[in-house]
Amino acid sequence: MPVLGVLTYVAQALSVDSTGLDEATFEVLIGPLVEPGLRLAYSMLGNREDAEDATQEAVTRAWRRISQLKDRRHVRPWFLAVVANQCRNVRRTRWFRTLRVGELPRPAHPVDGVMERIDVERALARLPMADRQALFMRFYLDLTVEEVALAFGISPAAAKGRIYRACRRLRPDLLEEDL
Amino acid sequence: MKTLRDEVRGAFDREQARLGDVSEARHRLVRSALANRDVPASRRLQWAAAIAAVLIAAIVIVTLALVRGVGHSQVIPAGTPPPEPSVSPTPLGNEISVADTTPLILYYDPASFNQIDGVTWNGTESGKLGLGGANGVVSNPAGTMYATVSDYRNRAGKVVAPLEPGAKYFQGTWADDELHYCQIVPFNLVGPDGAVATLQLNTPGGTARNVAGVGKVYKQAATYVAACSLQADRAVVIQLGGVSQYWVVELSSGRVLWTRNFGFNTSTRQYELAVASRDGKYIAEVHNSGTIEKPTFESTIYGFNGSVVGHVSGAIQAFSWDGSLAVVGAKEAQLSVVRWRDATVIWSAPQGVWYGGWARPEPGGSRVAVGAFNPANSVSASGPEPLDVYVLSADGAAPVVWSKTYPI
Repeated sequence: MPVLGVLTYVAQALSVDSTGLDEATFEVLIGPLVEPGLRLAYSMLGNREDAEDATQEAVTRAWRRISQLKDRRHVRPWFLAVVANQCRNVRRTRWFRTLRVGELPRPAHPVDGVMERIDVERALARLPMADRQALFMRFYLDLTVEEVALAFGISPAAAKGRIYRACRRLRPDLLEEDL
Repeated sequence: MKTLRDEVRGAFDREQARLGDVSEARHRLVRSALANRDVPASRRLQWAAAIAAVLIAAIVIVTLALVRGVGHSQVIPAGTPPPEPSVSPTPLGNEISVADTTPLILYYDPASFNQIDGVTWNGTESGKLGLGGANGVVSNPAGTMYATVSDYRNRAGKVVAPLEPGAKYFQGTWADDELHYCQIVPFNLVGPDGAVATLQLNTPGGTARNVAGVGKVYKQAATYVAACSLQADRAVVIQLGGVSQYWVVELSSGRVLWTRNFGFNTSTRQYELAVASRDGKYIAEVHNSGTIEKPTFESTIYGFNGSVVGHVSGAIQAFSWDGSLAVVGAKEAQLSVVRWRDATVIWSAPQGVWYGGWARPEPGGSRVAVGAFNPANSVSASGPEPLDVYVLSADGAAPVVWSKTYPI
């Protein structure tokens, strides 16, 4: 009887995912975030193939780590943090450092003589990766400051400070109210 | 008037336009990711059977022991427990207080990624270094000299020399004398046909010496220095991608001691890998005889003169300083450290973690530090991923010197 009980328990424990989340629910939760994740990955890696690999790996990791997500309302910054982390892993590999760094997104060629625009693009390309990531999340993906803070694991005040400092690097004479 | 926010968004818009259409990506990426997820059902059943068998065996043994009144206690070898995460809410405040030449393992402070800390190999001393929030730090083996994205610094953070003109970041490999480094020039891709890769030997602020022309710098390949040893007077240059090949070069003369083509696996559509010991005396070629989804890695070790000296089941990722131990692991595969000459497994990682892409040999010593990816570690967008770091000795009875979870 104890042996049978153990067998039943083991079989049950292993047939259900530890998080209790099935594939369909996971896809509903994460699916809409794949495109923003892919865009963030492309912004960090500058290459579609690498960006897709990183995003796919991030989805796999999200599946394994979904139990760490305490509040499903925060799934967007949480998943983007997983993507950013995976991109950072890719960037530190020897292959990437040797081959890809030279191919990161470069400012577009000056086509219409709008020097201001070119300056912003050049300055963006020179920003530290974390600052660039924060601007991308805030201004391109339209995350709130609170969501950027969650993604970075910092306070909203610190996130606001990071975004402001990144903007000051783009335009030193910027006032905070201009944002 | 256009705000900076609009301009930034516009710049990202133009960047993202180059990504192309991504409307089909969602379904495809989620499906592919879930196909590779966790333990597949069939393996789950195998696990269930295995665990059940172990439990049944344990129940039978306990029952027999009770029935027969055996009073002896049995020592059951415990597996390596995962390390405790570093949970200090504040960054380390103390400067590391060891001799400048004491080898250190570097990591990002878990409470402040803008701070770089060091810990001694025996794990007894730790503290912050004077490097501040230096970006992209690549240290020499002992952690006494550091290359950042703009310069070379000592442990106190003092700038020793700027990076060489034309280097966008440090692309070299530190030598085992802690002073020199080897590198491949040109640093950048040169035209569609590429250029001959030249192996150079240099010191921070010194004048580079051309050692030999080996391989090619071009878009389809990564050509890099895998080992740079003044002590053994040899370097290993690997060209990965395109025509994959490596060269073992005598540093003093530039003579190619031996070379091998290794290649592209046409069945898995993957490049094979080559890993060198720090002195270039051992090179492991890693071959996948399975598929991408279910890889079966085998490593062949080539010795001093290019002859085969050993085989290891699994993918060798790194060697100890003297080359006697090999770190074996891959994504979602058992991570272990083996004495490859006699196939003795010195240490196996806990179940559920795997090689995290980081391993270091102790300079001049026999220990190795291995970083294990652990899905239970939490992530943040702003810092490097935390790895479970194990410092291991060659002592099979007590291989774990210490372990801790650090952002590396």
